[in-house]
Amino acid sequence: MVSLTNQSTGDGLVLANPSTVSSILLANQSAGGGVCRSSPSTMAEYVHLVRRAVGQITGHGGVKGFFLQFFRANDVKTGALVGIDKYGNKYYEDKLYFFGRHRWVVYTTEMNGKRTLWDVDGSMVPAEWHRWLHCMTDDPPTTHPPEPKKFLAEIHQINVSGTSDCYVPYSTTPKKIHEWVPPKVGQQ
Amino acid sequence: MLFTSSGAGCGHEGLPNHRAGYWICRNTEGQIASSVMLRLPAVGRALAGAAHSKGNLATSSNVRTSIRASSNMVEVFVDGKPVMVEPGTTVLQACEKVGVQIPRFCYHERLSVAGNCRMCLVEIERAPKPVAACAMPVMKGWNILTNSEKTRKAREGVMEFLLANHPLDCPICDQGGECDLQDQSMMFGSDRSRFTEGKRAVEDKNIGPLIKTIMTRCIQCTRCVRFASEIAGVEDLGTTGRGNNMQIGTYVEKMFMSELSGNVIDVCPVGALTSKPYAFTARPWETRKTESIDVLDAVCSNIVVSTRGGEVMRVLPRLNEDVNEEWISDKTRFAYDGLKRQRLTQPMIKDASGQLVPTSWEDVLTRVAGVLQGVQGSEIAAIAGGLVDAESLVALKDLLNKLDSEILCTEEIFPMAGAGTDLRSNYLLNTRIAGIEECDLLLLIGTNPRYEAPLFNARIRKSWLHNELQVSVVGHPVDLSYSYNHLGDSTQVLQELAAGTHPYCKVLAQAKRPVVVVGSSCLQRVDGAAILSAVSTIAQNARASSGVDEGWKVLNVLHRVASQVAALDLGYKPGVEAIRRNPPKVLFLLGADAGCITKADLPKDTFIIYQGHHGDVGAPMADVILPGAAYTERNGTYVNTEGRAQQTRVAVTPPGMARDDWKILRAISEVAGVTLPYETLDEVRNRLAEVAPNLVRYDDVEEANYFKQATELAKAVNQSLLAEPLVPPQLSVKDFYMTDSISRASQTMAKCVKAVTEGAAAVEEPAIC
Repeated sequence: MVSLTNQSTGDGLVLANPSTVSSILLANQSAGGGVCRSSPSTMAEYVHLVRRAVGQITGHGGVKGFFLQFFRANDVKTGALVGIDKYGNKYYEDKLYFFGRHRWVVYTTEMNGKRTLWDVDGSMVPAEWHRWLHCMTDDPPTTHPPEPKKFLAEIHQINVSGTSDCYVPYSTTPKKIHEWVPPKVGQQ
Repeated sequence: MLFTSSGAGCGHEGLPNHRAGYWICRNTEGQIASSVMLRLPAVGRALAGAAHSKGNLATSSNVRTSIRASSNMVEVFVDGKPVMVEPGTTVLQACEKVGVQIPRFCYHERLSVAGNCRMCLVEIERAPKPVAACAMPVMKGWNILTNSEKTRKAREGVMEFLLANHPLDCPICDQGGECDLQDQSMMFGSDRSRFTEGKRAVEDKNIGPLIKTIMTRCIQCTRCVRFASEIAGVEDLGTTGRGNNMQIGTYVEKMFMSELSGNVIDVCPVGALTSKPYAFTARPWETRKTESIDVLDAVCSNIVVSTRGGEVMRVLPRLNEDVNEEWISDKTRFAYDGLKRQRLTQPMIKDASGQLVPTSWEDVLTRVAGVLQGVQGSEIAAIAGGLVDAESLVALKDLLNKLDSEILCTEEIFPMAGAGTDLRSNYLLNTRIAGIEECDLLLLIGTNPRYEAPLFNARIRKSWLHNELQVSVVGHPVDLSYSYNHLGDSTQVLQELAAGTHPYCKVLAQAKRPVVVVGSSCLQRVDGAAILSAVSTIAQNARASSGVDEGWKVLNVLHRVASQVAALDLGYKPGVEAIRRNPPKVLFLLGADAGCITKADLPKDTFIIYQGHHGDVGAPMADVILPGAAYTERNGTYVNTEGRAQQTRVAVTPPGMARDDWKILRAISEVAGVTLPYETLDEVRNRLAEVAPNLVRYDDVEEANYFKQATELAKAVNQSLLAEPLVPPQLSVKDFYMTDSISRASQTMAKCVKAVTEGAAAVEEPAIC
């Protein structure tokens, strides 16, 4: 079990255009914590803002990581890493965000042999993490491993809808046209 | 014929000769109704003759009527509107002449008048009581009130009585939506019921695998009885009992054994007789109707193909007075389920082990093109089958001609000695189907028209019944549904007739308008040319002695397959003798399923290409199979035995990867590097017009009249006839149902064969309704 805090590392990063980034952060924050401030008034608040901004950058592993996360998930959030499942999906929690947005997953880049860097899907979350992620419980499987059941899949399957493996319903109507079956060789 | 107390008697007692039995029934109102209007004297003729005045369904009924001077016309009034009609016209016909439709159930313009349903009651001004319009001849000055209070009251009363014993099962009735009783009860019936008593119920009868009977629904109009005895010529149906206990049926349970039996479904105004294969499958308002033609015999009846969801649901007749009137044969009507079985839906090719395996169009086209390019033109041959349209025929001919091959054959043989197929009048039914109604003597040679061309036979019967037509037959004695003079079945008779030494020649010489019909089946024999020559001489002698005008044609050939005339028009060689004598390296079978050429006739390395729509006889011996379209799936031109070009229409799309036949041939030509110069159907038809313009003059019969020359040329051929008797291949009704790749694939037709050989009870039917 890996557990890190994201604000721990800081490097002297110079923002080329801090206003852009801070507006994103603002938007994030306004959506997130319910601490919307249309115009920061005190110095302390500015400092808080800058710290969060720097935290967002560093928390995703630099500018590259920041943009990668931004374009993969259309969102950049930092929080406490609660756990990583065996496929590499990372589960985060930050209570600063309001309920429903406070737990999230950063998907792995390859799962079950499928490249999932951009082609992510909600069904990549395995069953044991699903209940924690959907707030059915507060106990993550890291601390409370699920009871082993026969029906629980050994390897979690991603939804196959829209792929060649997808389920095709069996036709129950009789055939309209019965084709001719050529006689087998030797039976003629 | 009807006798009413109000004086519509027609002198029934004095009828000269009853050729068919008739059923006498006495209905609830105490009238005697004979179901058969047999060779009627003057009044009956007038009824029949005036029958063709019905609105736009105008029959050009050629039933001969004595010509009346126009001064004899009678003036009557319909709702005050004056109209001049011939004396003897019925009230109903007079009303139709001014466009007023009288409701009716039992009256049918092609059947004799029964007058027992009473639905057509109308008021005549100053008459004591309403009269049955269908049976009452008009009198001078009558004012017919078709919408008066009394008339409406009468109709409502009759409708109430009819509905008293009619079940209220319209929601599960197959006639729903096309039911006369349903429509007329909405139009003329009462809006409420006063009926509280119990309804009569009648046991259903099993009359074969084609017609489903729900006899409780029957209103005893006796149309089916009259159809069976007058048009079909089988005395199977009749009435038993009287009053409330009257029933229609076969008395002893047996199959209604007629090749035209399906028409009673159309004739029945209610849902008592419905189609068994169509039962509970579709409703008339949810089907799409396509006007097409049938190609399962050489008459090419006009049909309507009802489809739903890309599936043929049923086939109904379409009115064409010159071809099929409003009837179709059972094969035409019920063989449609053969279109859904044994179909070729994807191209196939033989693999190394000799097994046919499905493949793609690219594969087969390149393979076929490669094979065609790899051999000399003279080593390619083609055989066209009986269901092929003219477009494919011309495309195949152009393709092979471009590859320097001239060996294009049809499966049916026609003797090429003498005039052969050079003179078109030599191989047509020149008198035409409708022309039979004008002739007075008919000589059938080596044919059984009843099963080779049922609608042609129905015409002969109509003429025999109404026009005193004399029929005589040379060939195996068969049941033709009318009486005939059997001259014998040996070829000796033909020779004697041609030489003028046969006693029958005297009769033949007295004929005013003689017609000689030779069946194409007897021309398949080795001595076919000699037979045709003898027939041609008989016809020419008969024409000379009759002194009939030049326009009248005597010699007729009755074909059995729909593609033959078009193929001969396009210059195909009839018969596969050329291929047998000179086996090709590549053989192209275009729907050839008659089994004229088998593997045994060909060397081992012959490459056989089969193009067609059914896996029947031709497909199993092929090296490559190209799936084509059946007649309901393409726009195709067919020429019937009388030389009438008609077209089929696309009702459903070809199944799977199957394509239009001419398009396949066009694709082959392109891959083989000899591109055919047409890309659209119109361009193909332009090409058809270049080769044989009559093929694209639809619904028109091109005149052909070179009998003298043909007879002269026929004299040159070897006249020696074989001793074998002339026996047509279709002798009884069981030979009728399965004759081509479509009807052989049909389960309904198989059931029919089983039913006629083992009895109607042998065919298992689910016990529903």
